[in-house]
Amino acid sequence: MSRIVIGQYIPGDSFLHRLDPRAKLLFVFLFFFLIFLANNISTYLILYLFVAICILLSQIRVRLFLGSIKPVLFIIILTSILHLVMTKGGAALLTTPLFTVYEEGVRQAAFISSRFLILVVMASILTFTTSSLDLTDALEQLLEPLKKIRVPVHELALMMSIALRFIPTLWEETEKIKNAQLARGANLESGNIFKRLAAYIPIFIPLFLSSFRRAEELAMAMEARAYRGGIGRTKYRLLQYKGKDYSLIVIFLLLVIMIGWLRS
Amino acid sequence: MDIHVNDISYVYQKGTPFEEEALSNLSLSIQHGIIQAIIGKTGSGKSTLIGLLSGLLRPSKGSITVGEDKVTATTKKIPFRSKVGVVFQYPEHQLFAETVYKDISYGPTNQGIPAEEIKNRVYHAIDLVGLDESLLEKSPFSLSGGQMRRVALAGVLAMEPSILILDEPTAGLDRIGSEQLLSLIHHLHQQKQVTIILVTHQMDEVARLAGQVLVLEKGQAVFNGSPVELFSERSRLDKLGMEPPSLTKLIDRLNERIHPPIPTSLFELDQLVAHLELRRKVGNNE
Repeated sequence: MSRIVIGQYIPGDSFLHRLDPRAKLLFVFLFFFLIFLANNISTYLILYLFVAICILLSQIRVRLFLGSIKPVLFIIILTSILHLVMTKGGAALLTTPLFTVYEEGVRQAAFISSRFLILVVMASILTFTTSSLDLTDALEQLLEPLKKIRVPVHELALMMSIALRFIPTLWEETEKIKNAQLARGANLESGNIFKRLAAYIPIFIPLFLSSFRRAEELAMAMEARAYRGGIGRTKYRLLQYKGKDYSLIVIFLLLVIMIGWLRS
Repeated sequence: MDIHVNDISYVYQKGTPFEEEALSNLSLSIQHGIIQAIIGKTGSGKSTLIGLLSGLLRPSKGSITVGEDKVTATTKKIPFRSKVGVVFQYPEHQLFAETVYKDISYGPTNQGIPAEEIKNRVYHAIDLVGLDESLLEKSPFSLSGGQMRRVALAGVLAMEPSILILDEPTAGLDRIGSEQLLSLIHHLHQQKQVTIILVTHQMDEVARLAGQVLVLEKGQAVFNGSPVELFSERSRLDKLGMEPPSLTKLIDRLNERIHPPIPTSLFELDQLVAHLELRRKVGNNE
């Protein structure tokens, strides 16, 4: 593997790593709503400050966060440009024959890209500090009440953890097949979009085949160990809320109060 | 076409917490036309070396020269990629086309070879690997595992590489299957005069086929020389954590009882039998 898959868990032992995954998941989920409450410079500053503290606490290098922003950078730039050009209001800052940039446009562009940035970085903090196993465990337990209305929560969580588990495996497999076809002179980099898509067929077909093979093997292995879903199933690793997990409630309430106070 | 590996290192995921040096300061010369075996445990850097030799990776440091072409960390397009054929592990997993014919012709087509010539090459390749021509119009997925592997091998041979890299070609084959594949490799080497780089875990394969053997450990070369040299010194083998070939083990056992000892440079059963028969004759004459 030559590059990091987005959202990869980075092992560590920081405060954030040690938090209960359920608490983290809930907190980040609620935090996403909080982002949309921010509507002026001071509220955004608070959010930025909070994210910066989280990055510090996670003890993960900033470069990795920049890496996770990269894929959405295009969307951020595009929406910013659209806001700069289209939004009217306030004083005109720059006038060209084609378009005029207004004060309100700059404000909107800055706020929208901030929103994106904070969302992405916060999601990265969650996935960087929580293993996929913990994450699906947490999700399963948080969604437990839905079992009452016959939502197959355990099966969904299992599907998710299998999917997450196999991302690196499939990635490795893709690299292998890609190398094999490159060694046979496959040309993946030039030509128009249709030619390039066609050039990927010799990679996708073996990849699909091996995925099906893997899925079948996995199903067989599970069945051989008499796996039968969630009913009555006990767990080896039990999650337990501790003091620091409850402190997240306080932190969240403080954030809500501050943003509620400062928003206009 | 000689290969010169000059003081190369290779680092994976540079600048991340997963950074890992797979090869460090490795040098190696492979003369044209020999069979070079590469052995080493999992994670010793074998696969990385294959990637570098086949022109799929660039060294982080140092240079690789194949024939006239030199590749360093900054080389943009690797010129020797089309001269090196690679048969990766479980090559049957990379088959994709509807028919065997189309799959074998994939490589030569990419090389831009005219259709008529491709046809010749496909027929020649399928003949080389010992498959019947009637299979050409079948789907590769309807074949047995051993046949699929031969098709994959034919797909590489049809590109007529002057250097052929084989990554554990006998893995997962039964004894007869691997035996056939090994004699195939042997014949190929004699007929086509190609350089063969054989990555393997089987000491018997090394003993029987290789002219030169490189032992990798944690990304470094700990031995490079002839198989006779490698297998004759038991203390070094023990230090490397390696088993001698089964025939060498047999000779060692025999030598406990026979005097003068049988030379440990014999790697074929026929040779041992001939040697013993010769000794018996000499003994009878005396």
